[in-house]
Amino acid sequence: MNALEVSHVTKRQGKFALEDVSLALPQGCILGLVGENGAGKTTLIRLLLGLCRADQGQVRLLDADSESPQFLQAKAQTGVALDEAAFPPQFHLAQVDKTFSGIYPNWRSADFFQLCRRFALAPDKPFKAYSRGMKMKLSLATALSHQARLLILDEPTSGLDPMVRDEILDLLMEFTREETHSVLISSHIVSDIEKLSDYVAFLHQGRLAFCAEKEALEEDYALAMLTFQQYENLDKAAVVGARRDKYQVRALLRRALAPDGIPLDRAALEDIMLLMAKGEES
Amino acid sequence: MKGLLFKDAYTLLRQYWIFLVLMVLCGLPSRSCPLMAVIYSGLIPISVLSGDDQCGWTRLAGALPVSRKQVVLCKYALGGACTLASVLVALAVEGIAAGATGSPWGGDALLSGAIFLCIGLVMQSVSMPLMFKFGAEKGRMWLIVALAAAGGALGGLGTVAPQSAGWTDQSLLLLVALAAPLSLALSAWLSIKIFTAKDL
Repeated sequence: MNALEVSHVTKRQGKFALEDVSLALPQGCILGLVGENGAGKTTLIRLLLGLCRADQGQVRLLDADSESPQFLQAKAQTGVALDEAAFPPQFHLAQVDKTFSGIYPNWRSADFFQLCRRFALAPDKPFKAYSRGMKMKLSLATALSHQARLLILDEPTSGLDPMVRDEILDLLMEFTREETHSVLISSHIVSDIEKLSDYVAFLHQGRLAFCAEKEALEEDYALAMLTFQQYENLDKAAVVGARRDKYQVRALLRRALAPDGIPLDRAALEDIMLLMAKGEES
Repeated sequence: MKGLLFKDAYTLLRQYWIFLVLMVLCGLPSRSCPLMAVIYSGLIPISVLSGDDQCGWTRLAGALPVSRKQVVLCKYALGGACTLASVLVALAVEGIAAGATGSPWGGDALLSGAIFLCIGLVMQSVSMPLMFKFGAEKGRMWLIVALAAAGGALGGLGTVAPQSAGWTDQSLLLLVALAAPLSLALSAWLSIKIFTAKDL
């Protein structure tokens, strides 16, 4: 069973459209969702959580269709951390615990307070006095306190200092030690995705550029620094994207079609994204 | 739904006592506490929804294992409970004040309290679907329009009613007592339809 599936989903919002997106997260894996600002990451997450409806296509969460009555049960097993933590400003930890214990059937207050202690969240401080990092930690604590099988996290490390980011990444690695636990994480911070994810999906201008295993990306793509002549002589079918500067061309190539004799370097995820998004650029 | 009710009740209680004080201060001198109760309690669901929108709770609630129907019904339960509690407090305050001053107070006051309760519920029936459709701020504006229309209608009834044969306060109570649950049911149905179709 896939933890989540999106099949040929299209969603139009004003001038923006998420077009014909299909991807799946196998159970027990981590899928990193990357893309530039406005690519559609948050829209996709909103579709997965039932915050909006797709114009076309199907969304399934833990094997429940988003239009079915079972979708609420699937959400009960899904931990959520949205890009902006959203609790009433005057809430303390006790009120968060009481609220969520009346919403999630498997809520564990002991787990919640243990996580809050681990994150050093002050129980006597109202939510409005929390820093951005503390707010995100509180969101994660609520996401992890009801025996969730799936976590959906929208930019959980954005704007956080490296220590807090590292702490959150460790927590997510711990979560996925269980074989039935899966994570979808969206982020601009490509290094976090590279560190954490088994699969990577790249959204670009509302379309899915790729969704593949991270290791397969490294096998399929490579970087090459070429002279202008070398670049002109290349079979353009091998070129995914390229950037020219004054002296050379930096090109992302498909390894299988790259000619012999050209030295190839490992393409980091950020290189793949940048060069794929920009195509050919001077 | 328990969690949603707790969240709204906790958010509300912190401001509710201020509202009660204002109601007493504004209404007691003119013996219009039940009227004040209805006006202020009509603003409560709007105030809570406005707070939810501002802090992002509405969007988070959409991601939780609660249905859109439960979110809507929670607001109606809150509005109804607040209106009832406010009218009861208003009547109690006026009764105590009348007792302290030796003024007459009794059946008529209770009757007008019941009428105001039903009018309050009818007004919420009007404002709630508008809130869910257009948001809390525009909903507040529409509540003011509804208050003005209700005031005009009450004034009109006051002019017309004595001229109609057999028209009594009991008839008015019967009319609004029938209108209140019917309008609430229709309003809740409409609000659920609106909110279910809304992108959060």
